[in-house]
Amino acid sequence: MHKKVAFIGSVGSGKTTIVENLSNTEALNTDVKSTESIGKELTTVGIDYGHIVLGDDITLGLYGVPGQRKFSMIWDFVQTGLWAIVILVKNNDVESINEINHLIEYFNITNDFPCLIAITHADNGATYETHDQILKITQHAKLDIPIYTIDPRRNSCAQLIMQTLIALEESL
Amino acid sequence: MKLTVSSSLGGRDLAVIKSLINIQNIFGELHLTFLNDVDQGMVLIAKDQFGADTVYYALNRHTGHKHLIEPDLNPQSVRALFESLAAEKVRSSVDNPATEIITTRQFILQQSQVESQQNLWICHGDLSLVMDAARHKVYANQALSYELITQFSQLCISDIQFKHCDKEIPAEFSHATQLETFKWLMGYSLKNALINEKHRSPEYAFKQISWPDYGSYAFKKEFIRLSSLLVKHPETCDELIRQSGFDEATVLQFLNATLMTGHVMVTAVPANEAKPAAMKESRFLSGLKKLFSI
Repeated sequence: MHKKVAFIGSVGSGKTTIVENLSNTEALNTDVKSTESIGKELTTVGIDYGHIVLGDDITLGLYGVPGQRKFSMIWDFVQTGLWAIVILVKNNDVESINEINHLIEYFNITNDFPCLIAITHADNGATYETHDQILKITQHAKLDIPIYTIDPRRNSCAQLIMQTLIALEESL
Repeated sequence: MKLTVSSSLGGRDLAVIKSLINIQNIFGELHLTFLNDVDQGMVLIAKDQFGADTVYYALNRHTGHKHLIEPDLNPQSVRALFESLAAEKVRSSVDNPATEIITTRQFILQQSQVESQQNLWICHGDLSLVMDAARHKVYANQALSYELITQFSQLCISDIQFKHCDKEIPAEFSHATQLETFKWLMGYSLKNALINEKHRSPEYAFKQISWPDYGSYAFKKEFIRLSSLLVKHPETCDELIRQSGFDEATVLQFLNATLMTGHVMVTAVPANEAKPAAMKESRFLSGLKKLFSI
């Protein structure tokens, strides 16, 4: 059995770091040198992939997927066997915040589907406004989705994400 | 604080008011009861007709204050009315804290919910705080460690001095903390009782209305499971302890921290509903729980 968890977010939101943090094996990534100034040297052009082995025949695939609509063909690829979604949003990034609604609709996210939204780059300033904007979007969609402020570089944050997805699955 | 509500309205309007009170009759410290006798309610919900326009309002017979219910009478506007009545009760209790408020935690909780143009200055011994609810900040004259917040939380209300003060923060209050974090730690530090012990009664249940940001707060990993239970279904304190299998101190810490920050609210116990029978845990889920130490 192979299930999937998708980490969806814009450039530099921390997808690669989280997948690498959680994977039992060396994660595969498709990072290349960016031709534009995006605040870092490498960026993911396709997907990141790592996996967690849970038993002889059970694995959980960890897929880091770009959040922009133009990459929706990659979303289709991860949708089969999808167990959970983590939407990564950079603090104060209006474009990523505006994409949340589209992702909710595209993946048909309901309260019976493990999902959480993680705000990254909190060192850019207070996350109150970003948090409130996301909360309004989820409340409008009648969703009780956890919204966390995380640092993808910290292993404890990756653990928090997985522990929350597990708790959500357990309460279904 | 109990408040009786009556209404001269009929039909759908009356049904909206009654059903809302049936679903939720506790707003903060306010306990609402509906009375059929129009002359008896402490708050009367009525309407005026001006030509084709209808104006709904609630008259607080004790204060004489008239609350407009806008834009019309619907579940959202009636709920907003009840929340504003609860805030009005809190405001009136500020003048008389010794009789109405029992603990420092309750006092801070109530004061942080009041919309005020002024800050609240609080002092005990060497410690002075200024609480700016509008800007979600607490300013202190010394670093607010967990130990200090715990000690402060344990004070009797009669041991602290407080007064309203200007918005300008004096220079000596150089240690700023998010108000949410301060309130969370005040609740988190209480593990042997509920903030309001009467809520331990089987008459009261707890419902999570929003997820705490566990990326920002100090927490125990059990809190995540407790959140996932309360977001689905309101539970009494004892039922939550039983259902989660966690120790009482952890559940009390969780409830106190989430109540202080408004992520969990006290509500009426829901009518008995058949809960789905526990299903056997899948190998996938048990594998994940083992790997992530849950």
